[in-house]
Amino acid sequence: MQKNSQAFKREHFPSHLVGALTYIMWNVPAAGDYLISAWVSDKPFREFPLKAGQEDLNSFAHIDVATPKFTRNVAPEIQIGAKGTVIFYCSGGFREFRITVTQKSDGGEKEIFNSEHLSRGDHFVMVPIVSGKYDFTVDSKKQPGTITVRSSSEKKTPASQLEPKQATATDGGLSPDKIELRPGQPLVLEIQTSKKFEITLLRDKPTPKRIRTIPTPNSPA
Amino acid sequence: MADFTLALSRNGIKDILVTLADRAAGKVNSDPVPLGTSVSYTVSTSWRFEIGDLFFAPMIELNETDFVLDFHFKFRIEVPKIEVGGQTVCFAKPFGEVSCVTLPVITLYDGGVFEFDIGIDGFRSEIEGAIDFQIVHFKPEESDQLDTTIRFFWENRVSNAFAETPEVSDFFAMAMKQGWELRIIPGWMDFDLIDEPGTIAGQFERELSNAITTWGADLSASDRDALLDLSGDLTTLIEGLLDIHDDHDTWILARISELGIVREVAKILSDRLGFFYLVKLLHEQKFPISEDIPFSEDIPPVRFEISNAALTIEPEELKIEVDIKAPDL
Repeated sequence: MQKNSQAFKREHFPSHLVGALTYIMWNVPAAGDYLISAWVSDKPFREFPLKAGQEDLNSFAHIDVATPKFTRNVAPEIQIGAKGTVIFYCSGGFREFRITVTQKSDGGEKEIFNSEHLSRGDHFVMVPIVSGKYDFTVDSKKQPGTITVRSSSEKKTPASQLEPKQATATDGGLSPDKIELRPGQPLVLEIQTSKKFEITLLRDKPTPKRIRTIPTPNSPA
Repeated sequence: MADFTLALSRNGIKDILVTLADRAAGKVNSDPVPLGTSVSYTVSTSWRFEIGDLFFAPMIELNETDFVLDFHFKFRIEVPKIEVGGQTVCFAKPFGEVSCVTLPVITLYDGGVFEFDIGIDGFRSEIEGAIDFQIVHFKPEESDQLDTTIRFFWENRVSNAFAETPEVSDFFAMAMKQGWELRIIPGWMDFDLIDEPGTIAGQFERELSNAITTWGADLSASDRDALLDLSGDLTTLIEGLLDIHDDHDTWILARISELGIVREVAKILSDRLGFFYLVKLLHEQKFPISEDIPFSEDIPPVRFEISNAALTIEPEELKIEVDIKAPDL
């Protein structure tokens, strides 16, 4: 019955990986042939050929990087308009994927996108489920920005009907720096940093257990 | 002056009414009732009457008589899929124009079916009313008061179960014969089906809460977490699907009134009263000369016919006066 058990435990959202409840949006720069690769660690996991045709800013394509293996491991070619948007996502499973895109030309192949280096114009989307406060760090350093995920006590709106919130991720933090979400409500972050960032649920530090000394017959009175 | 008089005391009448009340008990099962797109329920309702005090004159008034109902609800809820994504997001592209995309939909919970039973027993409603008695000279061939059951019995098409229960068998056997019957005639009746909606709502709420707790305990931890995280507590989720919005009283009354219980019970009672007699004397009575001497061709029974019967209700008793005559031989 349960499909996405991983999603319910997701407390950490690194900007460079597509996984349960994170999307990365990339804009196709021009018409041409592209090869999209999904990597797990440093190993290629799946490839998707993409053909961008005539310019169409409003065109978009969803690519589920976790789809089952294709026949002969080759996905059917995906069509999109030049300057359209590709949304990478993961429909299930526990893996997280790094994404690269190479452009094919007569001169050879050139990597033009790597999710480890998101840049202006890209978007990172997270859909947190677990309630609590999340910190924003850039290159492992805490920066201003708190995301609070809080369940409503009122009648629930289905998650798929919650309006997405938008914010900006910069080197100096999140803007706005305080964001409130309901579980299942998407946060769309416009990228204005070339550095990796991470959004992590803050856990209360466990209270250290008191060590109880059990008196022994030889203990001093 | 009548040839003989039969008198029934107040206690005698009460005994008869208690017997009648037992016969008037019954049960109906509803068809599945849809409640929104993902919920349906059926209810079986059984009822019985508990006769209290009687007051005579001019009719017999019932006091402190209870109409007791037992409801057995069976709910089937299709807990829907839980998905995230699917929204439209618009943003400025690096190329200078704003465009919109739709986020992919991700299924988090595939949905499931939650079935549970809720029994609300012994729900009482006090009846006030009056009944009258009537003497009817019943001739089956002329009567339109035979219901389907008795017609089937007449045509030997009913189940053997009737024949195996002597009381019932005797009752139906007598019901088909010509004779003088003391029948009950409803006068007026007044009762609120649900006297105290808060009581029934409270009982329902407790039962629902127990059912949800049991269901929650049976779910896998991850399914339960999913439902809790995205839909709040399970009670909120299920009550939302049932379309209960805090007001359990109104909700349960609406479910019960949807069933048309009063109409259904009234119809069944009316069908049964159509052939229910309290006391019956056959048109032509035969008695042996002595209990020690059975009927035989040599010693025929004493026979007489009832030519007329009348009924009077007095403050402490009910009198039936009967005129008899010797039958034409």
